Amino acid sequence: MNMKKATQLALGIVTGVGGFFDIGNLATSAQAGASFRLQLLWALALGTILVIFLIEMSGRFAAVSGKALPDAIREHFGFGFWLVPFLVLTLVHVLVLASEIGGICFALHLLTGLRPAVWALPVAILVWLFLWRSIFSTIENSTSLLGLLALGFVVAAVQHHPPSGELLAGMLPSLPHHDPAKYWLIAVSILGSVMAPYLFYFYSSGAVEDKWDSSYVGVNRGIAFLGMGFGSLIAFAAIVVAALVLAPRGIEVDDYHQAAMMLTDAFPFWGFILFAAIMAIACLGAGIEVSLSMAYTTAQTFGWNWGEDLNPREDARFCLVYTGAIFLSSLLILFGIDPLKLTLFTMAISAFVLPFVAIPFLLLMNDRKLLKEHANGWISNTVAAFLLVLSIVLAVVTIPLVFLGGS
Amino acid sequence: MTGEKWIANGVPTSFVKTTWQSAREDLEQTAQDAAQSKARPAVRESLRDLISQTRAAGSSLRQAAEANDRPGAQLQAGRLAALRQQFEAWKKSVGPP
Amino acid sequence: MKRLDLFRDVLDKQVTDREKTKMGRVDGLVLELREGQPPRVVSIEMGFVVLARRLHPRLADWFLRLRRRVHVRKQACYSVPWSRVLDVSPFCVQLDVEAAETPAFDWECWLRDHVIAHLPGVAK
Repeated sequence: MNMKKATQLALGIVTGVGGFFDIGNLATSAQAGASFRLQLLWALALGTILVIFLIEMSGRFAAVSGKALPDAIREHFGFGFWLVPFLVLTLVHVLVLASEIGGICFALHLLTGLRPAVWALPVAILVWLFLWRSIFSTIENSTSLLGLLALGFVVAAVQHHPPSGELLAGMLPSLPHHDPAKYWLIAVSILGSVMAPYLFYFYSSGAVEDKWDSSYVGVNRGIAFLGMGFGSLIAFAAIVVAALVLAPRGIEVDDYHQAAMMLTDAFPFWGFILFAAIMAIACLGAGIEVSLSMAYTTAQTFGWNWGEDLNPREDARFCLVYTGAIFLSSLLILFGIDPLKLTLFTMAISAFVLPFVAIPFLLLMNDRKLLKEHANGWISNTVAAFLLVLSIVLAVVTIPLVFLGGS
Repeated sequence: MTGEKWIANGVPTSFVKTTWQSAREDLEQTAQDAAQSKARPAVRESLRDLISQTRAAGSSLRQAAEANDRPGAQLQAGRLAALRQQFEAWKKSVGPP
Repeated sequence: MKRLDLFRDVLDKQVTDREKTKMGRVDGLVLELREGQPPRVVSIEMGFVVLARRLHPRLADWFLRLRRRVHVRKQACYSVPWSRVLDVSPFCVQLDVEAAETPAFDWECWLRDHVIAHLPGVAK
């Protein structure tokens, strides 16, 4: 592997780690730890393994075919088939974007005392400016490097000395001792937050932006396994911290205010500020990605010119999509929707739509004409089959769980 | 916990205010639910009592934080901790819903 | 003579112009039915109304009614004669046109001239 690829691999791993954590992980991890201590670690582990494979497949697909997912799916399956996943994906994009913007607004509320809704428009403009003025690599690298701040959770978790017996027990699925509906709803939400549809769709467009070709298949594998793998450690750490700080005090996370104190045991003076900083940066990075993802998906669906590196003069419709998405999503926060409730609802919906958005993708991964020798082998296909079954199960149980276990 | 952390300089005063605000809303909701529930009057009475004491302690905590009164805040934080234990005991005595 | 699978290789394919600028997608195909001879591809069609028609004819009517109120394009459907197709590759259908001069770019140009031009910091 030459220098350039090695650098891309290293950067990709760092980006994967720094970019992994977003509002969905934060909200679901805090809830899981506070209400069920370490019992739900298995859900995170399962989601991580599956998302590693999803990301690997997505990157491999883009590198070998030279096309991003929405592009290839419309072309291959036709507009009629793609329409439903497209609409569903767009809806989820808007909800996730609103949740991320809500996260940034709440973090600013923590630091300034001003209501989150006050921050909605300024934050929207900030996110928009990032997209308007930067090129793809700058965005990816800067927000993800700052996102490494989230490793603070890992430091805090280590400081709390989690009991190893309980840690190991949590990695295996177990039945809850109380509140089963809430338990399973959080489990489903964790899966939805880790296997976020925007994540693997965005990744394929990113690979095309970075002009990957078949020679990047190895780099891609490294990024998927190490980047996502290490990134998920942050979410694990967040569950551990919530379990050891909030649960013993009987604090359940019904509100972001309760989660905000998570780091104050490990870092008595800075913990509060650190939490707010992590929240703001993680959500900013994710918010930018989701907006881009929506623009990529829409532009590719209709065949418009697209690319973050292009001057807005050259891809006006592409820019219009992310602009519209950002301001539409920010309206939800402006009108005072509870950011935590929105996030949890969105995570559940993400889990619900997984079959619609994953099935076309998994089918394409077996197209030998397109991918030649890089089409799915038996390992990837076994995981894909499992993923398919799981996604259908999720789609069936999510809505009932939302009514039974949620608020 | 908020009180404890404010005393230790871990959280800003504005945070105490906003946390108390949302906590108070939750308390009001619980009080409403309790009033409408079909539980025995004695049970509802004891819960209502707990809620009003919590309301008073929380409000005093917020005032103490605003006045930068650490000993006062310590007192209220202690009261809230004790009330929480009473609430846990009450929950156990009532049994699952 | 090269075999062309219309559904697989042409329909829904990315359309580009001479300089490989992305213009849109092949939303529809128009075939001519001839007596005693195989059908012939006359043109490719691009436009939302074509997509709407693929889903349901009523949807296309509704879309046309909407267009009467708000329209930037001179025509709802951009029809390109098959003779203008330069090449059909696995990546795109390349046309012998210039994107900016076609109706496919009407919205793109309008946005560029009326919105983007007025926003600050366009040059990167």
